[in-house]
Amino acid sequence: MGEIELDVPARPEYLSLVRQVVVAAAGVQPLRDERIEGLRIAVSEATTNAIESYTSLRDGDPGGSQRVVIRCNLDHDKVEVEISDRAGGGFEPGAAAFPSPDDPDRLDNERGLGLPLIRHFADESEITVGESGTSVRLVVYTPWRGQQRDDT
Amino acid sequence: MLMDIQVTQWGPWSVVAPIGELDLASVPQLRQAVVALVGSGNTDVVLDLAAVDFIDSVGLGGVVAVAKRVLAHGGTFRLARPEDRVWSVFTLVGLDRVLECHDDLDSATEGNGVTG
Repeated sequence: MGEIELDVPARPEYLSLVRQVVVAAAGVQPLRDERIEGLRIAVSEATTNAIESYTSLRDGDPGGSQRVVIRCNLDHDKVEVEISDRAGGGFEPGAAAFPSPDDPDRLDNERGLGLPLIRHFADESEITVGESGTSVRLVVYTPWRGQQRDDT
Repeated sequence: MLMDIQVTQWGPWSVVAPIGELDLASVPQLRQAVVALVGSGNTDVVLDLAAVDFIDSVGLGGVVAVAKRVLAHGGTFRLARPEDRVWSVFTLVGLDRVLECHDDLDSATEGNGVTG
């Protein structure tokens, strides 16, 4: 149906814009509000990870060359969002589940919820870490999944 | 984008009310506001999330961090619930079970804290 591409500086103040664009694009599809809200969180997590990956490389970005690219592909049965950076940082390995609230050390887990939230809110998620950077692909299916589009 | 954070005094309680989205861009401001409060001896703190319309893992981490800051200084930390959509993220990750959470600000500011 359509593709939207957003190329933003890898800075925290652009997170809100990224979320707004993806939510507006996904709103074209027949998705329930809670699915769009979940996508908003998943996109925020992946974009945050990209921004922080650059931060861990070196301080500052005087030339503004550190970018995050968000591609949003709208198909009749799904919304697919790919968040790519050139920093190449991954997510913390093993942090795939929510920590137990009964764990006495629960309050020590200030971070590490990003990947579990992505897994929870996206129907599919795929993280590729390569020499050229990291790419996170998120898919949320519409209720039309498995049905042929009726253009008549 | 800078976040508006209102800090008011309700009897013995210092009420910190961020407005907008809690994420990587705004959490440093929240931490700074609570660090300043605790540093000036105001250690009974209510974090009022009624005007927060988005939170992600960094925002959740920020809430945990400020709670720990208050508790580490011997204070009392209470949270006044955000709207249902944001609250569902707290319950999803179980933070509603490890923080003292109240339905609204009136409930959160009842009684005295440790120092009150």
